[in-house]
Amino acid sequence: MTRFLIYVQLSNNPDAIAKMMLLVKQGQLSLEGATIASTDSGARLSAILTLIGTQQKAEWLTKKLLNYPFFHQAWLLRIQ
Amino acid sequence: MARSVDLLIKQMRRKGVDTIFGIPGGANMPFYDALYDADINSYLMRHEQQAAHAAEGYARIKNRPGICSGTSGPGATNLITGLVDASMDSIPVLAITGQVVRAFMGTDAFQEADIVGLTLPHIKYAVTVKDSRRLVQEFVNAYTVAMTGRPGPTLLDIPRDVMQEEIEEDDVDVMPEPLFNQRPREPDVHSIMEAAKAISQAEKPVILSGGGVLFSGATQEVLELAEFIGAPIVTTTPGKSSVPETHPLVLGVVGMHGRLEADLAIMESDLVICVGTRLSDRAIGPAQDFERGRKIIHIDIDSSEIGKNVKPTISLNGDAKLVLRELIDYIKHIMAKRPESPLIRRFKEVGEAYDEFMMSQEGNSRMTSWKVISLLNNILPPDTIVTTGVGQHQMWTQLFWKSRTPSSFISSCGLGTMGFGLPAAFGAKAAAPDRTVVNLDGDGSFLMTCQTLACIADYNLPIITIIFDNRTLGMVRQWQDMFYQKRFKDVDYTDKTDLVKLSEAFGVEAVRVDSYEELTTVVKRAVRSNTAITIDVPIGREEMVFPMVPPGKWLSEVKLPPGLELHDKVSHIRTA
Ligand SMILES: Cc1ncc(C[n+]2csc(CCOP(=O)(O)OP(=O)(O)O)c2C)c(N)n1
Repeated sequence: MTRFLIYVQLSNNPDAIAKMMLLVKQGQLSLEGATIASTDSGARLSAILTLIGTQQKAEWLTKKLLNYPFFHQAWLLRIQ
Repeated sequence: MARSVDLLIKQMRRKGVDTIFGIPGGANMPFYDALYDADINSYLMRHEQQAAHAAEGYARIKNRPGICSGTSGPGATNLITGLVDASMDSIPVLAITGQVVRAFMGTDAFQEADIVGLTLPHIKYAVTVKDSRRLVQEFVNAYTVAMTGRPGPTLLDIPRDVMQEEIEEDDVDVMPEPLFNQRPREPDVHSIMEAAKAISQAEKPVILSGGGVLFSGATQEVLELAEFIGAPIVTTTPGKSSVPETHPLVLGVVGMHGRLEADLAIMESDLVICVGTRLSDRAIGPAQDFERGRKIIHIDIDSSEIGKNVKPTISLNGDAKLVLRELIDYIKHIMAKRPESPLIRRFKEVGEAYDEFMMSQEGNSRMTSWKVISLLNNILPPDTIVTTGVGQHQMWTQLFWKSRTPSSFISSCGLGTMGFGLPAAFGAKAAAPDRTVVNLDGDGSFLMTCQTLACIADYNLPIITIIFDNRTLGMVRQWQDMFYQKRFKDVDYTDKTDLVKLSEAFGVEAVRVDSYEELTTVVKRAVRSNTAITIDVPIGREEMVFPMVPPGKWLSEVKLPPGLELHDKVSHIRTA
């Protein structure tokens, strides 16, 4: 198991946050922390998730997020 | 000034929407009111689940989103099964739901349900539109994204007062916002070269064609590649009609209840070119076995599918048609056309031995499922659209029906939704009124959505339904037989429900047939006269579908029909 940071830019609405968390769940990743703040004069949110799981699942999540038009960008960073 | 819902309908027409399946109710009544004057066919269904499946059937034929609608609360929640089904099979469907007025939202108002929240895990995009000036834009976004990239379901939830609000009229062709219209990636040239090299070096390559081939319209490219490299083609269940099953290189569906020749081709391969498939366990068995001893090229528009179930040797992210086009062009530069692999003849002999054996089996009833389906191959027009329910009859169809035109096999593959067949057939017929549409159903599946017969009668959309009436939930019974020591529990039906009378009560002619000759006569007449009919075919309860690869096992563990010996043809397949 590895620790990852995923940085996500999403639309500013609760459905987008819910969808993001549902995808964390579908990817069988555990959530260690989450910081969500609004950017772009409130038009978007930026989220930083600290996740634990396999590299394969973390990569899957990063790519999967971009299938949904709730999300503008997603980057993955391996931290351990 | 105009009602926002009237502008919505205008925009729908602009985008080519001509058909809607749904049921009105309090919250979506303004939508139906706006439809009153519109040049859009709206079909009044008898249950919203059926509206969603009809939209799926429509989308599969038209290759653009099927639209379904329901009112707030139960109307919306009834759509969910169809939307999850569409998500699993990557079908573009747009659901338009009414919602309680904005002031009542969040108060547990009458018929209030958070349909966006309820569908969120399985939906590509869902939104409750609270600003009437955003309604048209949100429609265009949801409609576009349903078919952009990997297709899937979307949902537009509209509070009743938003629909009714008067806004500035601005009748222009609205474009989707950029996030909703992202072009797929261009194929990566380096990976194309690598893939071409791997193909040129492979001795026993196989092409695995999935549902993505249909959405991409890549049938010709798959055939061209196969013909150039002399390789066999096998398909997943959703990819069943992606290539004509009468083509000499096509070996049929692979997997749990796949054709033996297709399973053998995968087992013996040293390279599999997987196109537009998520490589589910149902198709390829355990990933470790599939990965062992062979190279894998995975082509998919959804980059998250690449490496999800199977680790490919080479990944090609992009639209199947574009990727294959470039791949073929490159391959033609680096290798000469190859003759058809001699292995194909051997694989086919195994398939023929299986067919021959099955045709010699009588079963306990006067008619057997496999003979009925084989017979249909000869009497239905080549472009017939076949839908199915879920269960043994679906697997028999997968094994014995030969699809000849793209998207002509429509089934619930990923979710396995009993009751899918009849409403999906209705949607397909609405999309293609000139083609013969046949629903091959199980009695259990049929009874889940048989109210669609009322729509068939009302709208005179002639669909032929053939019920494989074994008076049991056959597939569950088979599993109880094989894995639960024959402890048959809650699977068998009595004879009390008369499916012929039931169909007639809905206004659709029905007949019970007792022989293949009678079936042939009835089907031919229905096709010729383009009339709806329900045909009840008594089938033995004891029928079991083989081949079967037990869940979690590799393809070589396939169980053959008891009595079929193939030792002289293949050494690495066991008998049941
Ligand atoms: C909505 C739903 N409920 C339950 C199941 C589980 N299930 C899978 S196959 C099957 C039996 C289907 O019976 P029938 O439609 O008569 O087809 P048969 O297997 O007899 O051909 C059942 C209950 C399902 N797939 N879908």
